[in-house]
Amino acid sequence: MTILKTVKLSKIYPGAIDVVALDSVDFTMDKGDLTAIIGDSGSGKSTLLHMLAGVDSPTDGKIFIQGEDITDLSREDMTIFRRRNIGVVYQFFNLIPNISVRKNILLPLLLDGHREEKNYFREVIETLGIADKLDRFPNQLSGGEQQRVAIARSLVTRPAIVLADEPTGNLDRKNSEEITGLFRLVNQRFNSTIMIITHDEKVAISCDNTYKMIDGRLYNLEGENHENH
Amino acid sequence: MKIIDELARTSVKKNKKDTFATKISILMAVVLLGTIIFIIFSLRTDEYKYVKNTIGDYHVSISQIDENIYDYIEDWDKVERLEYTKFIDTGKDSILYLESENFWKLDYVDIKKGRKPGKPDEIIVTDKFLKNNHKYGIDSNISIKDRNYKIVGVFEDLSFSFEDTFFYGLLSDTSKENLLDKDDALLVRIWYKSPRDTYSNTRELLGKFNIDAKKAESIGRLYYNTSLLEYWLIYPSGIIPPKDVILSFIEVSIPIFLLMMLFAMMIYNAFNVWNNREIKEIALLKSAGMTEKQVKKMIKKKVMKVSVLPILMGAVISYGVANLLTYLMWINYYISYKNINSIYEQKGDFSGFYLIKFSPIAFVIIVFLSLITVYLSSIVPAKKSGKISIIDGLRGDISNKKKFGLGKSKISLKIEKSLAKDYLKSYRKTYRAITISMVIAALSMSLVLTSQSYRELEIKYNSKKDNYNLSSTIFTDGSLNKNLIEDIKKLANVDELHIYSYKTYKFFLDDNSDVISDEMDRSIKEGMKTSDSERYYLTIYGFEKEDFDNILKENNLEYKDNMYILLNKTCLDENVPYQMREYIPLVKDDKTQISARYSMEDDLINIPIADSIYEFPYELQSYDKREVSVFTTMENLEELILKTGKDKNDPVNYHQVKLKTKSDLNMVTDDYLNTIYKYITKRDHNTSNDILKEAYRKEQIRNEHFLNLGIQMIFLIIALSNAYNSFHGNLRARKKDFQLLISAGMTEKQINKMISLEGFYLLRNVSIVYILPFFSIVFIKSYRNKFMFKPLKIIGNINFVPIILLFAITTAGIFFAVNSGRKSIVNEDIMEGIKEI
Ligand SMILES: Nc1ncnc2c1ncn2[C@@H]1O[C@H](COP(=O)(O)OP(=O)(O)OP(=O)(O)O)[C@@H](O)[C@H]1O
Ligand SMILES: [Mg+2]
Repeated sequence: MTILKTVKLSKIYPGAIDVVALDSVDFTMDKGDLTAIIGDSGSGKSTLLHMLAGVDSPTDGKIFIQGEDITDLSREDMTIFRRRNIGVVYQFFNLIPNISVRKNILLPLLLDGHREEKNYFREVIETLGIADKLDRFPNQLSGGEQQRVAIARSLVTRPAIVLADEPTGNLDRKNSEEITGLFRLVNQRFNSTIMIITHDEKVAISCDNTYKMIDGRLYNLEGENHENH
Repeated sequence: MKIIDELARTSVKKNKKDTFATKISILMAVVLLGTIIFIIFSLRTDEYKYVKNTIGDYHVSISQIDENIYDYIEDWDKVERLEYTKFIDTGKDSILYLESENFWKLDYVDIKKGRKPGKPDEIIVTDKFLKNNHKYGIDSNISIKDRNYKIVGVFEDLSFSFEDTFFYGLLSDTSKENLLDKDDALLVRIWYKSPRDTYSNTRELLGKFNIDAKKAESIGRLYYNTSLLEYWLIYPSGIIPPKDVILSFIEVSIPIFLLMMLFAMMIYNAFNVWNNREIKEIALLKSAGMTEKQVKKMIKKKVMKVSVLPILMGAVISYGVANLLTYLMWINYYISYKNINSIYEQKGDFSGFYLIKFSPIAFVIIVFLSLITVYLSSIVPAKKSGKISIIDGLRGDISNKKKFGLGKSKISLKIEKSLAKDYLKSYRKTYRAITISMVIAALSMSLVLTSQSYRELEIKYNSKKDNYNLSSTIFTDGSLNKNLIEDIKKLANVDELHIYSYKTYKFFLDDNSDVISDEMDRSIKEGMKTSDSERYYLTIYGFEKEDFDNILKENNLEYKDNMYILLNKTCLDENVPYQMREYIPLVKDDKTQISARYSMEDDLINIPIADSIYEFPYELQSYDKREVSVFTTMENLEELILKTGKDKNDPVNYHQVKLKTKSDLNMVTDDYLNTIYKYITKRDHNTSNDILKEAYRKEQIRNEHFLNLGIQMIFLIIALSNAYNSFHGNLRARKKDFQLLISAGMTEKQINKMISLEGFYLLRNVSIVYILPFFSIVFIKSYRNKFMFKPLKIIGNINFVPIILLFAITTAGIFFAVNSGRKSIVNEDIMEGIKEI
């Protein structure tokens, strides 16, 4: 089942010289995919993520998430759509410092006026190994722990897709591997659809599919991945 | 939603230190606003209650009601209620007022002895009446027009001893026949169904019976209950108030408005200075699905969380401050009251201090105005937060670089200076808001100081010092008792004494157009003197023979019978302060004839002027800008009054005693009072001496000091907390910039210098922005008073110390902010800073 599909997605940042950050990107993800996107700095990876997360709008093209064209949504509708269907994890500063870890995780639900599903929530925090940290505050956590909390939040609404922008960029080798492993685990246990942007070849290798972004164009590196799968 | 509430609450709680100064500023602003509102309210309601309780809450009263009018108003569907007063001429030099039952529930009449009339045929009388008619007393019967009445009480009577007395009774028989008894007169008080239509209804009524409303009002036949109607915001032209009401409203509103502006700016500043972390937080919240609406809601909640407590506290405190102020003024009044009483050795009734009534409405208005201000000023910051782009926000990118050009900064400048300028530019908006709030604080203070300066100038230049130590006006029916004059002359220790009578007439310009000098004509045409004929008047002074002869001698004039001499002198420009006035001749020829009347309806009185003089005799009085002064002998004046008859509107004759003494003024005053009390009652004179005047003057000065000091203190506190607040917030917002600068190798010293320079530039901007509105305030003040004092003169007299203090304190606030801001930047673990990013 196709969860995400872009059609000729383009983004041009106008300026003295227009920057073509995305150039006619056609990209699909199916349910349960774990996809990595690699590419040089400035190639347009984050731009793609921003488009998919609906925090910025494309210059041209369409984005379908679960069949819904999100480029048509108003800003307000997009926000609500996002908090119900898309989980996002950034490289750093993922948590609100003045509220507890538990609330940080539940934030999208709370903003929607919903209660959590107890069992699912338990499972998520246990999978991520943060069950004993729920009543702490973000500044009482290590960088790796903070990222786990961020991942937990991105999952808490059972989103159609989780988008992560260099989630391990801020972490050391060991933590980085742990987090990558967690994504894998989450992907398998909850059958989540996950897209990870990374610089790290090792992270990419552990994913099902890998794409490479070069100057705003996306290339599938299928051949390389299969052996690892 | 609970989560939004919690986010707002925790964020406020976490930034306690930062919000403290904001809270103090809000508190101060509310205290000041609240004090003004409480005092205005108490004055307003006091007056309203006073009127309601004394004269009643009717809308209009009309007298000389005849049968036609009676029939009409009794059936008029616009009328809610009518009450009548019947006047019965008793034939005993007095009139009996029969008042309705409702009237007797009011405090209009002050009962001194006995009680109010409660039954038909019960009446109350005055002391004066009992004194002149020994056979009557309380409980005695009196027959008025074949009817027996019983005296049940004595009421306070403020009329002169020689004026007619009157009685009050209860109007029990309200039948048409009784009310319209042809010997008696009738007055009606009207309550309309719609008070708002009071003026139009009344005009309609008068129009029906061909009564000229203007004239009726001027002779007192028609009386609108104006203070009550104005309290209800009802004006002759509907809901549009007349010019003077608008002007006084504006005068009251300006300070309130300025305060609310200041208030709004402070809140705006406190919440509009974003630090990177907050921006990131909002961006993050948005990316986690917080909608724009929810963001706005959160910010507004945050603002409310910070301000609700200071607003409530401020409103309560302001009630205390308002009372404190009134208490201080009361004490002050009490001091001078004691002084005055020790002069007269008498005990008057002195109302004790009472608390301003706590008006829930005023409280609600204060809280409401404050909340509205807070709410309105949170809209822009909230909107901005809602609009924060997630991408930019997460990057911590908040400055609005796009909006201003590449702003070339000179590299040749010293680096601190050049950076200070760069920052001033990139935080231009924030700084603009800080500047505005500082300027408003300074302007509000200037407003107070300008009025103060103006009043001082008035006292200094627009008045003339009286050279006489004691001055006393005696009111009589006829002429002044000759024995009284002789006895005053016998007073010991008096160095100079003048006794004279005077009478005032209208001096219409049209009546005198032939004799008025060309200079005066020109002056009126050029607007330097008023062209309003009603406002000029003629006063004829009747001197004692001896004094009059001296005047003639000094001016080389010969005495003639029936001789009037004119002070042929009037000021060129009445809008010039007294001390600086120039004078022009009043009439063309020194020997001439002038004309005057009591009023427009009265006959012309021609006064032949035998000759003119150019100085006021014995410097007895200052030159009034609209007075035409004529001098004659006391006998001549008496004869003139006899010949022309009494002025219906002011039948009293006035006599003035002025004396100089180098001896003990208290003793001379005592002697003087004892002397006149042999001839007149206490009610028939008005005496004041230097000691008394000094006491009043001191009271006023003390009052002004209290007020000014209080207001200035509050403004200074506001200025301090405001400066600290905004500058500190601004510095905190830029923490990351500073940390980057430090990590790029800027020393603490250099940072310090840079921040101080920013403070300096800020102050410089404040001063520049302050200048123009300041001059406008002064100019408007001057303009409002027709340039009596030129703007520069007012500025020259302004007490600049508080303004300088205000700027100094603002500087201090900035300095404190720089210090604590720098500490929090430098002392904080650099890692902590980076971790936050
Ligand atoms: N707001 C913007 N305005 C103008 N140009 C932009 C903007 N944001 C990104 N770009 C440009 O678009 C291109 C793609 O940027 P993007 O952030 O997507 O790169 P990236 O692949 O995520 O790089 P990195 O690996 O360094 O994060 C870059 O050339 C960048 O300069
Ligand atoms: Mg990127």
